[in-house]
Amino acid sequence: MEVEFRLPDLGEGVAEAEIVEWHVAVGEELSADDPLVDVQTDKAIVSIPSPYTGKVVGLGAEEEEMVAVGAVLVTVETADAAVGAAPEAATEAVSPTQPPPASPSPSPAREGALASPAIRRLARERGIELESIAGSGPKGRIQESDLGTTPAADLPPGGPASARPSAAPLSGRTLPLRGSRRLVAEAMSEAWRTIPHITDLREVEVSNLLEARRLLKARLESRGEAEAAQALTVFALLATIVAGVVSRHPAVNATVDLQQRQITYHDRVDLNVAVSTPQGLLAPVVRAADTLSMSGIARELQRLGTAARDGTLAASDLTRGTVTASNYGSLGSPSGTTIIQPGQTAIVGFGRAVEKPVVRGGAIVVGSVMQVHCSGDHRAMDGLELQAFTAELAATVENPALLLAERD
Amino acid sequence: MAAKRAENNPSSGGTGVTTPGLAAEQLVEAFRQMLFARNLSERGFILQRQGRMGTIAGAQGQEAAIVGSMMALERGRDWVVPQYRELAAMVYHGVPLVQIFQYFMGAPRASRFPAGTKVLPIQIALAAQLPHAVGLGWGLRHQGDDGVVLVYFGEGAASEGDAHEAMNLAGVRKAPVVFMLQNNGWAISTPLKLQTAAESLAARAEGYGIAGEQVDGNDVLAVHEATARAVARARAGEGATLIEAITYRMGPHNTADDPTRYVEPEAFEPWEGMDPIDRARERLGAEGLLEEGVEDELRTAIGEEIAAAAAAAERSAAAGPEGLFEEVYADPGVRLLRQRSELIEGNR
Repeated sequence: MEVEFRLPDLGEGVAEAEIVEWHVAVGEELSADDPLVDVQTDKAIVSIPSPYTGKVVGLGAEEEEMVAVGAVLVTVETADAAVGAAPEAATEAVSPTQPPPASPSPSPAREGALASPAIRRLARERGIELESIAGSGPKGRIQESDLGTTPAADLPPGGPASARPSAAPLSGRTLPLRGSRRLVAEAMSEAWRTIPHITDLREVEVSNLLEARRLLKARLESRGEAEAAQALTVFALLATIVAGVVSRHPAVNATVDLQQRQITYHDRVDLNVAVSTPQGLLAPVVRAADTLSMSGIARELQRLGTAARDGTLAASDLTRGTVTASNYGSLGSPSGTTIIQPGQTAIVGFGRAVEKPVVRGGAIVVGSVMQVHCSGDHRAMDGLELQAFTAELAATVENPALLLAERD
Repeated sequence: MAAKRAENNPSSGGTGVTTPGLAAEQLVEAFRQMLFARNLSERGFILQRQGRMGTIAGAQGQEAAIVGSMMALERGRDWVVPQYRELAAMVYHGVPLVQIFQYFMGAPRASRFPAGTKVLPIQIALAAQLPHAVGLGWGLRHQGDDGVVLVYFGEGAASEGDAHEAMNLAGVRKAPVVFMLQNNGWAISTPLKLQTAAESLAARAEGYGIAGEQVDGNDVLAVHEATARAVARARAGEGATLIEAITYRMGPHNTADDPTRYVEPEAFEPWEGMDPIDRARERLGAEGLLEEGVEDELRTAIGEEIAAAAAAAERSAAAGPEGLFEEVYADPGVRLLRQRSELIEGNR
């Protein structure tokens, strides 16, 4: 006979799991307790052993797919009907070793729909008769999604249901959240939930910076170092400035641990740089950026950018750094906002430089203006520290000559 | 933290206490009990993964601490007050194996043990069993009973206020209690170094005016000897003992835990070769007590016994919703009875 094995609740209140790896394939024989599949819940990676002996005739999901608790994981052709879990087969009551206390009355067979109090309330609010609905949960239990499929026309007009647009079935395409999209979603949700952001946005006139880059590039070209000249992007200069300024502001190069009630100030600046790739946003890390020369940072940025777009980044390139810089202006936007990565206390974003009227020496002239956007974790710093950091960063971007002061 | 060999100082109280060891057949039985404890943990994990049972904590790595101590008690005379990891000790002292599985399958009646069983139910609330154990021991003396109470807990529970209150009261009342602290290095994900700044948890005994000692918790003989001394002291009216069994949790805290998220692999290195079952096997082999093939026979028989009990528990009737209202109050009271009737009759 064919038996189905459904995904059990593997934790305490786990609703779904992602298939990590199948240990069996359709057509293979397996024995009870053999490893069947590894799944990842929101708590743990768990290896599930098979409850059945027999031949696999169907797998309920592919690797990387999400499976809801209660959905079929695997179908097995077993040799005889007696094999397996069959937990419903209540035949004998195993000796309660003492007589149970006298019950006031024997429990009558339960009638009516099976549903939790929350679902009963929802149904009442929507004027839905639970008995008229077929539940999709275990043993026909009615779940919230079962209520959502009730045609809207049946709902009382103007009733509470109209205030709950989420109850209507979603139109359009629904796809599972997977891979790097899911990782970004989870990290950003955690950051947004846990990090109270404060921001400082400044407009910086970058003519000097662009001129400095032109000079430095020409110098490399005149020496025949064409590759180094090509690597010397505006962002390479900006990243060099960021690494230096960050190293003098401990609050923006830190990790807050509220559970342990501590802040760790990092000795080194490991700079994550946001890179847009066909696979999505990646943030490879320039290690010890505060100890690298400008050309060292430029080379590293070029290597990481190429590897990110080719999909050849090493795992060590993708570990979390201590602070992040985003060059979102390279995608076209002069202005934007940023979200701090979990485990960090600051992120710097650079917009696209645009020509704008600026006041210089009492006259209005055309300048190149770039927005520098710094977000800080308010748990680690107050506005004072964020402004001090942003002010030094903006001043150095505006006048790269200030880098000379670092050696003063 | 590396395991420390116990400083075994036989009691010099002059009460005629002999230092007991395990006779040859008892040593083989201890080995069998350790295999039983491990198989029970492994079967529990399998059943939970297959959706046939609820959350369960395993004993992997702590079998010597559990078996060595449980066998130092006299069955039918002394009491076992478990936490949640000492299922083998519960079974050894009379709880039917099938009821262990029924408990984890959600049957409220599974904690109603056969008459005369001197075991309290599983305790999930951390350290709550410690005051119970002291009250039980103190009460036994009032009844003129010479039974001894052995209570299990861990180094995490040792940080709870209940642990302090229980040990302090046990000292004041000379309650016949053995506090069996299994220090397995981890309170779920909290490592020992974040649990205590002290070198020794056993040293706390002095502050309570009770006896205390540290023992190699992965050596079943050492644990047995230390426990037997503590039991003899308690029986002779000399009061309680805190035993710190230094051991190591080889697996996850329980089925809902994934230690790969917080334990560095290197943390296991000092414990390689320290598996209490391997050490007991070496001891048996050295003394010529384990004949070829005996372990396989033991393992097969244990596996069958445990699988049969699990299957029997699955066949027994699942708890109905009315089970929520039973086994707690002798007299449930009007409000609970009304809620019970509302639930059963489907009113809301």
